[in-house]
Amino acid sequence: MFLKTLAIASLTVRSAVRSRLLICLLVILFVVTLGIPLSVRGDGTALSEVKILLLYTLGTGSVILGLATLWASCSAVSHEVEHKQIRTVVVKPVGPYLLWFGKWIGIVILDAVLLLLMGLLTYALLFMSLRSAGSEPEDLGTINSQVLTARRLFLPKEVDLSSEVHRTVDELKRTGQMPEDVSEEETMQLIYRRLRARRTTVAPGASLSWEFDTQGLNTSRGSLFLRYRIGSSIGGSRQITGTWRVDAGKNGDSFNTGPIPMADGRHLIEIPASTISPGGNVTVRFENAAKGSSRTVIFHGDNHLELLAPAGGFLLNMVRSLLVVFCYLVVLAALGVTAGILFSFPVATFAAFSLSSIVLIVGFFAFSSSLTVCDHHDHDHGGGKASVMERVGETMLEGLEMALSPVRGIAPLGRLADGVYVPLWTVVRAVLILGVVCPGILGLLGGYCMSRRELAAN
Amino acid sequence: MNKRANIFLVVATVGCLALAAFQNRSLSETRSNRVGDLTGIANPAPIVTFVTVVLGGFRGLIADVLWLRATRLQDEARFFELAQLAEWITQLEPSCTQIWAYHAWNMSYNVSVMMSDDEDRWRWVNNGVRLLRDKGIPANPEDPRIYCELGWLYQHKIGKDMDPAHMTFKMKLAESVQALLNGEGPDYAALEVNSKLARDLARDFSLDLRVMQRIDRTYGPLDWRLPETHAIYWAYLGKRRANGEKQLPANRIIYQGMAYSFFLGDLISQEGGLSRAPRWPLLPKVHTAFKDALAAHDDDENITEAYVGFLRNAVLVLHAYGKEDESKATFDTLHELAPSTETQAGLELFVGNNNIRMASPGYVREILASLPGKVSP
Amino acid sequence: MNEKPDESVVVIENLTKVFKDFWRRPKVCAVDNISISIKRGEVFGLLGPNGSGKSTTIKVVLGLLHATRGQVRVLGRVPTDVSVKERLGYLPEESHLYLYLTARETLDLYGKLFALEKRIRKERTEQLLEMLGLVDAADRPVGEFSKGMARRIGLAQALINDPDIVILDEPTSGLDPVGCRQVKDLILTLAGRGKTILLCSHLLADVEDVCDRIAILYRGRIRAHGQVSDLLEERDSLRVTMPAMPPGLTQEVLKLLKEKTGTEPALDHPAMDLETFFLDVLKEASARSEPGSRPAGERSVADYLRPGS
Repeated sequence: MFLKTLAIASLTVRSAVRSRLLICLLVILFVVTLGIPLSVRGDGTALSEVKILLLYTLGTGSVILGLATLWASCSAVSHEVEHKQIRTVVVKPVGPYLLWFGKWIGIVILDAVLLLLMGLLTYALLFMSLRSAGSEPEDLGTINSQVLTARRLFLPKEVDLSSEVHRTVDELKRTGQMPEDVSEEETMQLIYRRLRARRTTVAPGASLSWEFDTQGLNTSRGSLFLRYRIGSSIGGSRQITGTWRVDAGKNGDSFNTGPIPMADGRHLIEIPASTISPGGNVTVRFENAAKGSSRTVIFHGDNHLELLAPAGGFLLNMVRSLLVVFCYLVVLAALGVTAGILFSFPVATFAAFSLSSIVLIVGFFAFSSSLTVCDHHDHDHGGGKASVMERVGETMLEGLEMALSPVRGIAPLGRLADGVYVPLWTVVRAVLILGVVCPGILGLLGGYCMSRRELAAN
Repeated sequence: MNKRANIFLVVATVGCLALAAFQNRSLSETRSNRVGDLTGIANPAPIVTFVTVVLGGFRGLIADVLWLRATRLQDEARFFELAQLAEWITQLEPSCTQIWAYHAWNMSYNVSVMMSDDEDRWRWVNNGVRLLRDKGIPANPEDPRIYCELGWLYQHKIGKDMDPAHMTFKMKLAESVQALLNGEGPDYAALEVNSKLARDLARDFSLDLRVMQRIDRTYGPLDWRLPETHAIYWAYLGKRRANGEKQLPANRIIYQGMAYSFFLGDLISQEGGLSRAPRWPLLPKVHTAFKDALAAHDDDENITEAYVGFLRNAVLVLHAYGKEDESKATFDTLHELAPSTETQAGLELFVGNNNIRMASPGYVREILASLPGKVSP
Repeated sequence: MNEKPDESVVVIENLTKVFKDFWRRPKVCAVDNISISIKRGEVFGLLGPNGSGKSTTIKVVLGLLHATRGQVRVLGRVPTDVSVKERLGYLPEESHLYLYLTARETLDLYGKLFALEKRIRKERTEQLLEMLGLVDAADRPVGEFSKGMARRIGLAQALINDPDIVILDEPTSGLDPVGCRQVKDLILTLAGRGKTILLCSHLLADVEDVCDRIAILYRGRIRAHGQVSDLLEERDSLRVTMPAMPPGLTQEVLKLLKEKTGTEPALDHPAMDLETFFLDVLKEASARSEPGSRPAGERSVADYLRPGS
């Protein structure tokens, strides 16, 4: 069994090598790795150049590898069917499932080698460029603390607003103020949103607190960072002044920034490691300065406040990220081999490419659809009702998004470029879903179709 | 059965072709209205030709996907890719001026204000300027709107004081021009068109020495370290590519730029930064700029209002600096243009009734700041 | 599997194969209700002109095509059964090989697909290369091979597993007379070892030389089948072969035969066939130019394929 699998896999690898696919890919990846940092520009800072190098070089390389994987895997079987070599293989004691597995493993081995080479080249290039560019020590410090690291993200504990929502609804009912043209469920959602909005707005002179559970936090690796995103009641103004306080109770020192001026946008403040001891609760508090010296502050987005704690080294984080990328390639290989069994090469390539594109862009469309849905729900402005077709489209997108959510949503390169820790669990999840379950399903389908297909019909 | 199916297929094919032919005309019209005609560009940039010809209809789709990514990243306050994404999106739709304008404006206005640090703000303002100046205009060299958009960025975002970091913007621009010119403007007599300075100006600011000379002759001499001068330069180029009413945005930028240049067109280097003072010799040329605009646009009401506003402030500033004759002459022009009981009462009463410290434009305060001991702001 | 000497190892019952178009509409009936049973150790030939359904029948037997109606059993099982494939050897009509593999790599690959041990693979590969005269070309990619060489390597891969059933589709196609004779000798050798051979060809001489039984197909149907000797025997005439006689005696014998039978007997010299003559000439020429060398067409059969191995 092992020998047969190995034979088919090595045949696939040899085919790629002899057909010069491998050498072409190596050249392309080399050019991309060297060329992207030269052709893609960041926002002008050394930090953004490093981020671009990581995100765009590895991202483009991964996309190219993904396309090549689809192409090679689609041709793995369909090409042999077309050129009739498959006939001398399937009359040997090789079952359809074994044949599928062998072809898949061959492509996976190729991907592993190419991805490893790309990773090594990018890593070498990264450190060479940092050494040779003569970057400012300050920039290097920023790069080290914000990109060449692996920081774990801690989000504030969710505040349970359900009881308050129910209390408010009861109060509205009691006073006969429940709106008649809106269902109770919608009213509750509106109240929930309003209460949540209160949790993200701080008027001048007021303050707001968040609690973090620091279970699993490691303070031995250096300073922590608090990252927050704010906007003021008057856009573009810099007349916000506030104080951040971090308090871990008896478990650590308390820390405060003192009043600091800040603008709209994303900010980072360093917190001494001694402030926090792992395992307990940490309270973070923002105190807005009094009226006159500050304005109402709005904390933007779901991730408006994050506690970042160094959790590991960059190299291992990069390895974990590339492992997740590898899992994506593995599932693409499985998709391609199965498509190659079902269809002729051009059709298989088209089908596999279309399917992968749908998976990729469904997030974009779901995102834009959510914007449209918001517009439709805007009763006050008479935004107009969505047409039946739009509704059907939205429902389909939502269904697709839900079905694909286990496969999507693991974006390791973004995290890597952001210096954010890629948890082991993410890798395990990717391996399980992308590396085992999806290829398993595709393999079963491919093997079954192979057993049903007439391979000498042409 | 087969025969019938074949007939059906033939009819369906002919029907589809007829439908496509019918749709084609309206699609072509829509396309030419929206996209314009690339053949109008004398020498389109290679990238423009590439994306237009090679990618065909797919470029719109790719641009949409990139735009959604840019929106998402901006929403998440992750800005480091935005400059590159904006460049790609605009180059995918290279002949759509609005897209260039939107992305330049987005970087210069929306993204820049998200930065706490003044230097970071300037970088993003400059990213917007560079997108239009270095990429947008070469892709649409005959479209007057894009010149005006760039002029607006210089005049409004860098030149005005809306942004708390505006002095940093001005300083950065002045420093970079100073590094090349080593003064307020080039010595045209000593320069050749192909000199190193000419090449450097073209490389760093896309400025053409011959056009600069023409502008200085018409409106100046101006201080090229100031954003207003750059605004006038680009509006001047836009104006040359427009006719009739389409010249209005360019003319607005020019007369407003001239007015600012008169009030604050002298750059004075001081310890701890720069300060600006009025550039008196420009006064007749400001009049010319306004009068030209009025003549070109049939005494447009808004231009008249702007001219009156300028004259009122000019009278007060000239008077505050002790330039009695110029103040009187300007007052006479004001009276001639917009006679009122206020102007009929004479210059002295006019100055007495209009407290200069209460004059609304922010630049007046700055002008007064450069007059220590004369008038305290 | 329990195997009996007279057991039918390939059974085709009422096989019909209809090819359909994209819309699943019947396009052509390649095989129309044929039944064949092939016994162990038999050399069975399918004869017929192009498009008669020979290759289609073979492909159904191999599991490369599915029967529209009827059934096919190989060693008592369906053709797609992996355990059946362990004991099959197949030479396709055209040798579709991996062009970038060398001859040695090709045989090693197919050996691996039978999970043969490395030592056995190596031994068999070398013996097959020697047997088919490909030693000098062993390390050349098969993409560079002539049609005849590709055919030989195709035959070698069909034999790498020492199969019990060998299915050969046009085995001598593209081969020179030496190669043709070698293949036919090989078929007879294999048959001598109790292997079952199913071959199809439109070269009648090939079939006649090696087959025990044949079936003649035309437009998908069996038009004649049975023992070759039975089918070809002319029962109403007789041939006597004996050493040459003096001319007078010959005339006397002819006269006597005419008197007794009342018919005119024909007389001629028995002639060797052209293939035998051609090979004799080559053998002689080879012996003269390189004394002591093995004449062309006399390469030994691979050891593991010889009787008694």
